[in-house]
Amino acid sequence: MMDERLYRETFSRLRASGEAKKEVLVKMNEMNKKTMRRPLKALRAVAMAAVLTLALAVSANAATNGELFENMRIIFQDDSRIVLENDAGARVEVTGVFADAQLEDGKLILTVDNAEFDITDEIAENGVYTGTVKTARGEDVGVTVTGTLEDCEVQLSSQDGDTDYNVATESSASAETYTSVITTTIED
Amino acid sequence: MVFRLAYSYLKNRADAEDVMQESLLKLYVEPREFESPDHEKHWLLRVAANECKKLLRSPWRRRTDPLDEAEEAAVFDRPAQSELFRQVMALPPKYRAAVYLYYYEGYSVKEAGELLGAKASTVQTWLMRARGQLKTKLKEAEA
Repeated sequence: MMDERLYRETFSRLRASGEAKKEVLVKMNEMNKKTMRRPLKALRAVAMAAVLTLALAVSANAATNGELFENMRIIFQDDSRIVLENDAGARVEVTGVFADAQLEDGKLILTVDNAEFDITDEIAENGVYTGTVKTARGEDVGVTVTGTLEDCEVQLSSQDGDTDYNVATESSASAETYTSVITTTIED
Repeated sequence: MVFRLAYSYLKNRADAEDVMQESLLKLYVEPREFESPDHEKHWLLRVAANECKKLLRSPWRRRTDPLDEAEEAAVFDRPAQSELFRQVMALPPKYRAAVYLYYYEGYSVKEAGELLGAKASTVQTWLMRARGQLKTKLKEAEA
């Protein structure tokens, strides 16, 4: 008869290297960049997952002294939320917010979490727009858009406890941008 | 989970990590919505098992005898763990994968068969032989 407990203990020591895990995240991000320059709504889930997962590699790992990222698996995922759990049952929940600034008929329209704002005047006159948007889940997300109507950058920020998360888009000549913002909650 | 299954199959860290990466990227681009986390896990393990089998079938792999890295794959607390690991890794690949899915992931013989593309009765045989070989080898090691 097999000693199941010993077998489990033994094989639980087998783990992929951090480098290999990181490579997956990098590849996901590369795939995201290649295919999601202007993500359609239906494709946001895929784009979101890449950014969320990448962010987790940094933020969630740091928040748990590196322990959480070990053996983390996705237990729930939709187009705006991802929940991960490790072997010890610790969970990280990440909420993503989509932000996009696009020039349409001479107007620069900022979309944050499905809310739209006309920021043409602020950008044309000052080169900057700042505001706060409350997400569907009640989180305050800071929004900053800088640049010109034709070439702008969107930055989102949120706060989880004492931790600030800031994600900026790549600057885009066509003013098409994509970004997301992360909040995490950890339950033991 | 994916890495452990792949390592159980391939007994080689680099190959197992390749399979893990390939499987996760396939999951990433998979358009379907899974019915549940269990469904998703089942799908992912099946993809990983297929990737392992593909790798084992490749001509390059068949001509290559991977370095026996069993001793350095993980650090164990006790000699018993080290010995069990060594003996499990000495089993044929399909036995090792069946043992992993049955004893570590807790799948039934039928479920493990679905994941490995084998009949339940075949998996049952693999498990029985694996147990028999391990029993003999571990007794020998003790003596």
